[in-house]
Amino acid sequence: MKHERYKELLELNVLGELTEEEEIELKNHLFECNECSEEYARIKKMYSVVTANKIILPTDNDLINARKRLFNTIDSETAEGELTQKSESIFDRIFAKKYRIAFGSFALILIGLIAGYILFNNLNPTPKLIADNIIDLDKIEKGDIKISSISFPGKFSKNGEYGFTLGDENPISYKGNLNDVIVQKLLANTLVETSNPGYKIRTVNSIARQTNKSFIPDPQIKKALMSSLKNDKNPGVRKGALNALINFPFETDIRDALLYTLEHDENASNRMDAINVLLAMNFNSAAIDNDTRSRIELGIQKEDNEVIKFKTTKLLIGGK
Amino acid sequence: MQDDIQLVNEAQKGDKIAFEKLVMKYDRLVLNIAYGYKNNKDDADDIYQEVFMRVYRGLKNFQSKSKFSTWLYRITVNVCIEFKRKAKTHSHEPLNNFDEENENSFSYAEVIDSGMNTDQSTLDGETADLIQTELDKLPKQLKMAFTLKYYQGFKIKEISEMMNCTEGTIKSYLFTSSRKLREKLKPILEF
Repeated sequence: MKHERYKELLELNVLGELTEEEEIELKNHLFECNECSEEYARIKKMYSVVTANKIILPTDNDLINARKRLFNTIDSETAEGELTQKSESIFDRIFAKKYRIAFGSFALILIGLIAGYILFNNLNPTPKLIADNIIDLDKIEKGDIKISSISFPGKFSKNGEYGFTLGDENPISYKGNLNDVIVQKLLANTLVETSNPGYKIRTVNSIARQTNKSFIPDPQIKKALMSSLKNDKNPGVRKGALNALINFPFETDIRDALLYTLEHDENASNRMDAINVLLAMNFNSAAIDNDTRSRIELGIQKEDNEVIKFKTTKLLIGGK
Repeated sequence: MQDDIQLVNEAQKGDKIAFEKLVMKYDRLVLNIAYGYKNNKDDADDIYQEVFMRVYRGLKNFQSKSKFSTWLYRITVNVCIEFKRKAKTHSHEPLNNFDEENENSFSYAEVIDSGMNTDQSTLDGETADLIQTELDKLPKQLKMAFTLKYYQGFKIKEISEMMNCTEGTIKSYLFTSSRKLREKLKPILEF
């Protein structure tokens, strides 16, 4: 009976629904129960597979089009209702009198004006485009500006323009490419703030696509990518962050991040990418400090993948 | 910043701007819920329209006994569950179809390019299709609870308010749907 309860707790824990006390109780149980530990691993895996596979969200355009359609429908309905009500009484009175032609023409003009208003009045609540100088860089830096949505440049985009909608109420929009420091800061915020793996993957992949060695990264975006590379749970995000960082001008912190990936990333493909880049950089392996060197040597012993093992050994002896 | 009560009051008096503010405050989440539930752009858009038209028409009778957002989400859940695809000119393109003309669309292939295919939590079309197929086989209430939790990240308490049932019922929906899905995804999960 008790065991069944723990099975429910396992599921609720993955869904982030346990109290602190329940979490501690579950952890203690997991230490001593293999069956529950295995079940927990299965539940976690299903959660990660399902959430990773549902990553498509409506785009800004979808939302804007939906709003347009809605407000147009409402306007038509309102105008129709008002027109029906008014026309009955007005036309009854007007057409009973002698100025039928004049009033008829006037009515037609009025109808034309209303139709024109409905058709051409821009009721689209497209977020207001704001000028650069209104954006508060400090607020972005602190993550105080909420990003409601992002549109990413496509693979074939010529200007590489990102679009951001900021804030929920009275949203404002901002557009720019990756050379724009505000765009970089907003993307850095996205990486730090969002829990949606889809957004994160699109963010890191788009950065990787749009950068090259002449790119000047803002420290905030570099930091966010480093953090994603080291800490993100999703291997696709880590890989995208790695692909982006290796496009940046080479600095020792990037080298260290790659060494970290080689040492810690549980995904073999990511470790392979890291070692390939490190070898291609052809840096002086003697520059690796002793602690790191010892850890990498220990890592070689634990490494399952023979190719990575061989390449890492080559890296360590390469500079000597 | 105006709160919902104020906006609702003004919208009830016919203030169109207030109504638009209410729409714009919540409509992304409504569209997200519809997308998560139907996995079809046209259907999601139709649900969005139906939800806000019901809100527009019903707002004059809304008495603020519950929060506006709770009322709105209940309508959204009901419309999603009641929704029947219209037999009209919709193309019914699945959301994972990639439209190269559209800069904002992207495919699972793009994600696979990113290297996720090297991991067990692979993002590929087949897995996504399999999950969607199995979700579609679930009873509507279970599928709704599951998508609200797994895709939208609502707390069980919030889902119970949205679906107008107890937290225990929602937990039971989640356990059942998760167990069924795990059975069906066994080959992927054990890979």
